[in-house]
Amino acid sequence: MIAPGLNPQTVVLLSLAMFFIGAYGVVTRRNAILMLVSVELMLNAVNLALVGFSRLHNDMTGQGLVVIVMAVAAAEAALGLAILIAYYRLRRTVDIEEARALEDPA
Amino acid sequence: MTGADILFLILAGMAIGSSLLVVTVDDPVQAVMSLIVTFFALAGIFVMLDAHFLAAAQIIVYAGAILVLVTFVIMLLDLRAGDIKTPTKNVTGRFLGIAAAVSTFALVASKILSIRMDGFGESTEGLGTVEEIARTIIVDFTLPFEAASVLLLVATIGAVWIARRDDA
Repeated sequence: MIAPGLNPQTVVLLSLAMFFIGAYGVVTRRNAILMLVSVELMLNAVNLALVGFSRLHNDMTGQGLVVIVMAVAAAEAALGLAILIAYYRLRRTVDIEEARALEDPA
Repeated sequence: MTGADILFLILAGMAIGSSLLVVTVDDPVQAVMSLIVTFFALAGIFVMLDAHFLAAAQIIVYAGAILVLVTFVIMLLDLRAGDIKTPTKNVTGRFLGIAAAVSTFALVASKILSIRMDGFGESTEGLGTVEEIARTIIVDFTLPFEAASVLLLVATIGAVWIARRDDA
C-alpha cells in the first residue's frame, strides 16, 4: 500500500517528532491528566516506529511488540486515572504544582 | 510523487498538527479530542504500513477505550480551561521545554538522517494479518503475552480498589 520507494527515514522522523512533542507536553503540562495524555502520545510515537521497522524488514516481531505496548498503555491509563481520582478527592485539584505534601513547610 | 506518497504526507501532517494541539490547547477536553484525530491519522499510517489489525486495534483500544476513559474522568472532575495554571503563563518553563524537545529531536534526527536507508520495497504476503499477529504473540511472545494478561487483571482490580470511596 505504501509507496515502495518511500524512504523509511520519513516514518522514523515522524515518530521521533511525535515522541518529542509528547515529551514537551509531559514537561510543560501542569494538569496531571494531560500529562498522562502526553505519555499516551509518546507511546503511540514508539508504536509507529515499531510498525515502520516491522514493514521495512517484513518481520512481525515489531507488530507483536505493539500489541504488548497497547496492553501496557491501557493498564497505565486505568491505574493513572484511578490514582488521580483518589488524589482529587483528597486535594480538590489535579494541578501538579499543588502536589508538594513532602515539601518542608518552612 | 505517487498518490500513496501524498496520502502519507497528509496523514503525517494531520498527526503532527493534532499532536501539537494536544500539548498546547488550554481546554482538557479539546486536548483529548485532538488526540483522537492523532490516533485516527496514525491508524491510517498503520494501514499504509500493512499493519491492518493494529490499525483496527488502534481505533478500538485507544480512540474507543482509553480516550473515552480519559474524557470520562475529565468530565467527572469537571476540569475546565482556567482551572490549571497553564504553561502559557509560565514563559520560562515553556521555553525550556521547547529547547529540550527541539535540541534532543535535532540530535537524534541528524543521526537518523546520516544512516543510508533504501525504500520500503515490496511487503511479503500476509504481513500484519490477524493470523500472523496471533502467531507472533502466542509463539514468539508467550511470556510477555501471559504477563500482559496478568498485568491487565491486576490493573483492573487495582484501579477499582484505588478509586473506591472509603465509606463504601
